[in-house]
Amino acid sequence: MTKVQFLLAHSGASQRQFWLGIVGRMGADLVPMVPWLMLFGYVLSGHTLSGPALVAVAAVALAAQWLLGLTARQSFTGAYQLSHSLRRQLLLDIRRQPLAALTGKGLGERIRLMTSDLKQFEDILSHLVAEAAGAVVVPLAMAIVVWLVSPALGALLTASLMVNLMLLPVLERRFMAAAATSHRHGIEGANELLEFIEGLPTLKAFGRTERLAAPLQQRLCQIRDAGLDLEWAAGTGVMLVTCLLELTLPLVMVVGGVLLAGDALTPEAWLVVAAATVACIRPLASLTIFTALIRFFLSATARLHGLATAPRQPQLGQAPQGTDLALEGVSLSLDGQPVLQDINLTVEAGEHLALVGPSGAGKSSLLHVIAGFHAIDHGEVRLGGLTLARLGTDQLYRNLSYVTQDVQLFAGSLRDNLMIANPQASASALAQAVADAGLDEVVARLPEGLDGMLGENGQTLSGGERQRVSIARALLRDAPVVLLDEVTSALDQRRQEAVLRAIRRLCEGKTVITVAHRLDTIVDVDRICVLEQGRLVQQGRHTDLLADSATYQALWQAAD
Amino acid sequence: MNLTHDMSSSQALVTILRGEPRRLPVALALALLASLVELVPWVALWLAARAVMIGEPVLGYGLVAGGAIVLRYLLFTAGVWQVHLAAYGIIQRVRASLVTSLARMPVSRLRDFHRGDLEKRVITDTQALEPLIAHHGVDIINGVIMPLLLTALLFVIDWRLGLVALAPLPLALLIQVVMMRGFTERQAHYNDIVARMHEAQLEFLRSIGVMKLYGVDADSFRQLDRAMASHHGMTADYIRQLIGAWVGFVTVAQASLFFLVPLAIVLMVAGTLSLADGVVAAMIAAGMLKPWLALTQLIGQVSETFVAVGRLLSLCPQQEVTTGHLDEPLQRLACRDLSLSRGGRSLFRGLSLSVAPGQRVVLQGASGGGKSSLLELLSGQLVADQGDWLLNGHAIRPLSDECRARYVASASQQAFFFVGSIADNLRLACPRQHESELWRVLEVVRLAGLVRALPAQLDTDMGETRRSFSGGELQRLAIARALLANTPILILDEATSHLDNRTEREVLAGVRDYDPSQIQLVISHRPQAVRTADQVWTLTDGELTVTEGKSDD
Repeated sequence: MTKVQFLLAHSGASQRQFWLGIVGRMGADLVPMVPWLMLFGYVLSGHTLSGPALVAVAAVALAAQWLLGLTARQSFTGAYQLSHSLRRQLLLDIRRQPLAALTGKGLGERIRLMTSDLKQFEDILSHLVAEAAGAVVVPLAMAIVVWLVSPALGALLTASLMVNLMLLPVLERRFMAAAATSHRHGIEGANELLEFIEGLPTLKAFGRTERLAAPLQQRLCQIRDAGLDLEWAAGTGVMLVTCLLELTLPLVMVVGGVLLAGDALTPEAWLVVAAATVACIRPLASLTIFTALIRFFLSATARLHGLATAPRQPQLGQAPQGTDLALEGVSLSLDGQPVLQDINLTVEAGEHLALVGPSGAGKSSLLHVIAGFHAIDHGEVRLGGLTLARLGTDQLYRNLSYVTQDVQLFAGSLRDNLMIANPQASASALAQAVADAGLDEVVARLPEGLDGMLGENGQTLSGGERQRVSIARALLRDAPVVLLDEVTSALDQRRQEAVLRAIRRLCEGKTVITVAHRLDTIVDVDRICVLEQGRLVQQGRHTDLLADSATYQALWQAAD
Repeated sequence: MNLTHDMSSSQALVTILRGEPRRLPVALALALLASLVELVPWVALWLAARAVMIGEPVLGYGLVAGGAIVLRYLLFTAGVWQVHLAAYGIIQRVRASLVTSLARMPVSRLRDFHRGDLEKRVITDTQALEPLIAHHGVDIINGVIMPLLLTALLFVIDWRLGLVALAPLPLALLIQVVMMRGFTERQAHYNDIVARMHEAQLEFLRSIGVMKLYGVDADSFRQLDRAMASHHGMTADYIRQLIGAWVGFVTVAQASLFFLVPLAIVLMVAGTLSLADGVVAAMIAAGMLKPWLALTQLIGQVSETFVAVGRLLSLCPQQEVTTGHLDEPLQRLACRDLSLSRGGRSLFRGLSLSVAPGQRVVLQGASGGGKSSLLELLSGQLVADQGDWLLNGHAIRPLSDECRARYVASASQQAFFFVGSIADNLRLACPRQHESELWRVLEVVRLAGLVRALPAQLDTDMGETRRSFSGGELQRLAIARALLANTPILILDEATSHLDNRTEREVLAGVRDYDPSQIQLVISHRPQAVRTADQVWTLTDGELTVTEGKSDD
């Protein structure tokens, strides 16, 4: 529940209107007590108002119920205001997350958070809270009536309701386990289905759609069975509780009959208790369904809470003084695995530095840390003397270009995807960057050239072509620091040389850090850093390392 | 489940429901029975109230009421369970038939759909059947029968009270009619705005990474913020309009008690109504009309299901599935009068060609000129406007995928590999292919050394392979997979584009030697490939010229 409160406060919107609406609706739900009390009063005392007066009171009560009911406007608009503000705030939170969290795998998860989970949260506020609150007020008032008329039967009614209340958590545990299994099968099924759809052209070409269709069909059966298990767990629980709840009436009837025989109760009081019990139980039956739903929705709340409290980076900050880089005692772990340990490194402005090491040594991760993609565990990264906390991501990314094969493309034309790097670039600068990066053949292939749409995350482009998009962007951006994750193995010889030329042009006069997979391209850089198992083990020039470093020698020989 | 493209949503629903000819009627009968039994506790309560007033014992009535409650829940649970079994069974079968439809859908049509959209239709839209089948049927029975029975009981107790309790009904219906006026349009408009807001949000989430990297995320957020603000404004308006009428409807529909109690008291004072009858009548009237109220909310939900079913139908087969069969050794591959246009542009018209076993053809021509399309007609990825490829004179279009795949295998620039091991992927066409044959083919594409160096060798997980292999290595794996299909025709569509010159030369030579009788159709942008060709086809501006190839040796 504290997570719900946290999210409500996090939205930044006023909750006053919402709660006002809830209270109003509870008031409306309480109004039917007026005719009941009229009836009970007459049955117990034999005295009552005149006919017209009774009608007038009932009419006024009905009008009051309608007016109070209109506060539903407040509860609904208040709820939508809260969820709207929360959505806006969460999107701002997402915007400030480190870039690693924003690209790649997490996308599906984030989309689910911002659509179905947020929708569930909205539904609790707009519908369930008010209805659940309304379902409680009349039973409470009726239980008080029973207590007043006959404390013994009041105790019996209360005890019976308590048993029900205690049963709920037990049943819920069963329900949550089944829900988790069903959820898991659902996710797996969606992934398998997506893979099936992606692979269909290939599978059909080989006449072997069965290869993925058969396991998928099996999964669909598992989804059905898990869904049925969930329905059984949830359904039988609800049925059992509501059945026990309704059995309270015969119980009260019979025990009331015993009290009657012992002259501890008048027949009139028996009538009132029976009526109050019925009026008490009816709304509670719907409450058992609400509690199950609310529990279910609270798990959505927990996930949203996780999003709202995920690490964030400041966006605005000071401009850096210069473009030298410094890493002090930097450690990073991902998914609990240490990736970088105690890295100390300074890079002068204008220096060209290369990172080498066996695969898995942490080269790309080090580049990611400098680019602020991950929140680091320990240490500091400084650009121009400022840490990211003082720099802000806006200043950081204004000063560095990151060139990679994992380039992110968005729905739009190739031109849009390039111009994002520098919206003010002239047509000639764009043409130059396209030619330099070797993208002209991609432009020639697309029917509409630069204005050709790239399709779903640029699926039409190969890995090498995506890297060239990244280079073209960096050329247009012209930032003073270049981080280069070099993947040239996916290119043929002729193109590779063209791309290397473009990279050389990009790096002129800049501070450059290259992750080198092929050592022959880095023989001339100012400094080479050797990484091994997340540690920086040695640095120096090519000839020095070839003489001193066993790791570097091994790498050099393997490349030959 | 025989759903077809040309059905209406209601026809489709009938077909779907007929899939459970036993469970559904049984479930509905049980629900009906449960509603009838539900009346028993009320009658028992009434009789008990009368007994109390004349000093008779109530134990028997209590036991009957308790027994009836338990019986009712047993019946109801059984009915609900049956109907859930039916619903989940139906959903699973609809999904299964959609998966089969997708498997049989022409690739050209498949490309019209977004992957996420297909996933949503198969999973989410089918789930929309669950409330309709599992809940609405039972809800309707309960919601119609219970108020009827209770009204009848009320009339038996005292007809005047029965009439008064029913009085709110016409008033509520009147409000309902007024409220629903223009509802459909408003609902459609509202749904439209919600969909647009979601679309904008999706695009934002998809591109936020790159936007942030280039410092334009603020603009992007402002745009989304505007879309959200207008969505929120519309929602607030919509709610304000709707709620006044809705509250009026709900208040009036539940007002029986306010009408009945004054009358009951007046009658009791006048001595024409007993205390027991008056109080029991109030109990019955208190929630009597609520189930009818719930029913009115069903209308919207049912119409949502209809929309979802409509979306499913567009995936169902449009025409008869091709099941043609051919089973004879290939003597000649030809095409006659073959024409294809894409996007309104004619790629080629009236092509007629012929290739004998053992020949290698290299296709040349400007990119975008239709080379790949010509071969995709052969591999079943595209369908010609006119003419067809012929295997021994038999047209290829009527053949099933399975049959055509026994004649044609292909590898293209970007290959799809599924989750599993390298061996699983290589064995795609022939699941029982011997391991030694896999190694022999890996040798041919110059990958054997690389795979042997992997810790798990052929059992290496494909996800891992995809990360550690370069583009060129993955291309060679795709060529190996196509070779292992052992087909008389092999298509290599830019399948060596990421290889360096030397490796391409070696792979093309090895592929030729692997099966000397195979027809090989090769697209490569490098001149050296042409030297290995028996025929060269050059496609320029829709015209195809055939020249004899000049072999190296």
